[in-house]
Amino acid sequence: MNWVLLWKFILIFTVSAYSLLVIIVFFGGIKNIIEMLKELGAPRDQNTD
Amino acid sequence: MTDVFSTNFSTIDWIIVMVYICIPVVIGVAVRKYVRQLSDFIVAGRSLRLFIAIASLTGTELGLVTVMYNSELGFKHGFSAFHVGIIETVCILAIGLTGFIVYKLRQLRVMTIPEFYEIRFGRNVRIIGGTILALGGILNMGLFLQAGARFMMGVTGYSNPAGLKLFMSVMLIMVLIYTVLGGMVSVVLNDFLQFIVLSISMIFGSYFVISKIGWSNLFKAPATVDQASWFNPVAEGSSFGMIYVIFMVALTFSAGALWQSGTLRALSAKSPKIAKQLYAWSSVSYLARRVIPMLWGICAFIFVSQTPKLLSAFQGPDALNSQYGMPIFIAKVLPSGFLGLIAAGMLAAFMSTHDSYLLSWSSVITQDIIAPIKKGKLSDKTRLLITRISIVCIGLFLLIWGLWFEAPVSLWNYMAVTGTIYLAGAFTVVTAGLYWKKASKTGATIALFAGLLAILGIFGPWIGGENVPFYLSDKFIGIMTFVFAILGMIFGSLLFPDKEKQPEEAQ
Repeated sequence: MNWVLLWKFILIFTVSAYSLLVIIVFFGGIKNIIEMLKELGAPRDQNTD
Repeated sequence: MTDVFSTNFSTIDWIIVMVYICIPVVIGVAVRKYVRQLSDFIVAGRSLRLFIAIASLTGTELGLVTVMYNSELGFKHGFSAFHVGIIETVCILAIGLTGFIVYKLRQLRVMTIPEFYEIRFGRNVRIIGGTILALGGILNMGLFLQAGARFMMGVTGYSNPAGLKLFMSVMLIMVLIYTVLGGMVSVVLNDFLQFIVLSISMIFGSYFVISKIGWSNLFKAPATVDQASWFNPVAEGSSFGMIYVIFMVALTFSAGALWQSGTLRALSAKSPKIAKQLYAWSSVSYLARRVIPMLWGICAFIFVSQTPKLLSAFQGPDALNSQYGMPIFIAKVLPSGFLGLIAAGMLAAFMSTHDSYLLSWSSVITQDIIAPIKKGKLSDKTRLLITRISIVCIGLFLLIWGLWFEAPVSLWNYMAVTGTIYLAGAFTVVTAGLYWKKASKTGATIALFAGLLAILGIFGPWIGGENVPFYLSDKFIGIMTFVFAILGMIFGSLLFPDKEKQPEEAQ
């Protein structure tokens, strides 16, 4: 088994995939935060949980 | 020693760090108005959407301590350490694709893992499970401050231990303030910010460290190490070996599904489907949290092995702790300004892990130990107060244990063993509880207590001293703890089945 080749692939894959994830989560996360705060700020029944 | 701790860290870096660490406290105060009931505090009102949940899970599971123990693994074992990341990623992806454990737990709307124990096995099992979880979890945090202090020493070159203790104490107090005030809402918002800052630091930092070493040099094992075991984790002479690999499978799979601070994100998700998706997406983050710090550790070792003065500092009877390798390296190769951003990112990671862990273990103390003992006669307001008091008490314990206690074992060994105290029992009990109808209270109790066997992995070598082959005993005890927990559950349930039907079946 060629360990060097495997670790090269893993390293490149990790950095690329993680960079992409960060971009997606950044934009998706901002949208999610706005929705979450709206929901938590809305009037609620105290016995919901 | 002055040369060893020389650094590019300058005044501008200190300013970046100081400004940055004030932000979370402001967020904690600002979101306080959103915390109106206990579920808002512990699981953010179960309102987490996918992307904020991913950021929060990553923010929690990518702490400064994670960076430190992974870079230490890379520094000591080279690319062969990557296998831990691969195993963990496959396990997390498997949980995400199948929904194993997390989907059903989210469906049950529990807020902590031991809450499930009560639904399935009764109150006493919940109290036992909660106590063992809190014990393992709080001990697991025990060395966080120490690792943080070492990172700061290496990066800033500020080697006065008393000053660092003070610095880390101030950090912890800031975390306590915003966790106590804002609970989970504050935690997830800070996790998001910290996820972004830390991720950008890590990605660009990787570019810098690889540039320093050179892409082709990176894949040449230094002359001072065994060539085969630098790349191959199961090579003859490797410190890992097959038993270690098996232990890692058991540990990372169970931790992926049931480590309270991580699972809390799945339980806070808006729906069981999002809880499942969260794990599938986060498998990339889990890979990055291992591979990137390990890469930094590998680059650090190559750099050290090419610098005779540094190499001698890490050799001999007075050798520096290998945790210093990565911070000392980045302090010398990263430019000022960017170093401040990295330090801020790492301190952010330190804070995001602390806040979530504090919230996790304090929730367990309130919900799974005190409330069941009081037979559920506690109002939401009292529970919130107890949770906040527990956070402060755990914080005080961490100051004493973490700053003034020196464990004579490596950081990852300590983390693995303390994690196993809880995980071996919890994984067995939850899996059997969800998927095996014959699982009984007795079986669950035996399995939970079996987890305590892992403590032998900590205390044994402490008594034996430096010459005891700890890695061998550690991985062996780790595996055996899982085996005993599973056997305990099977034989305990078959020999002592529950007499009456449980009031609420988990199925």
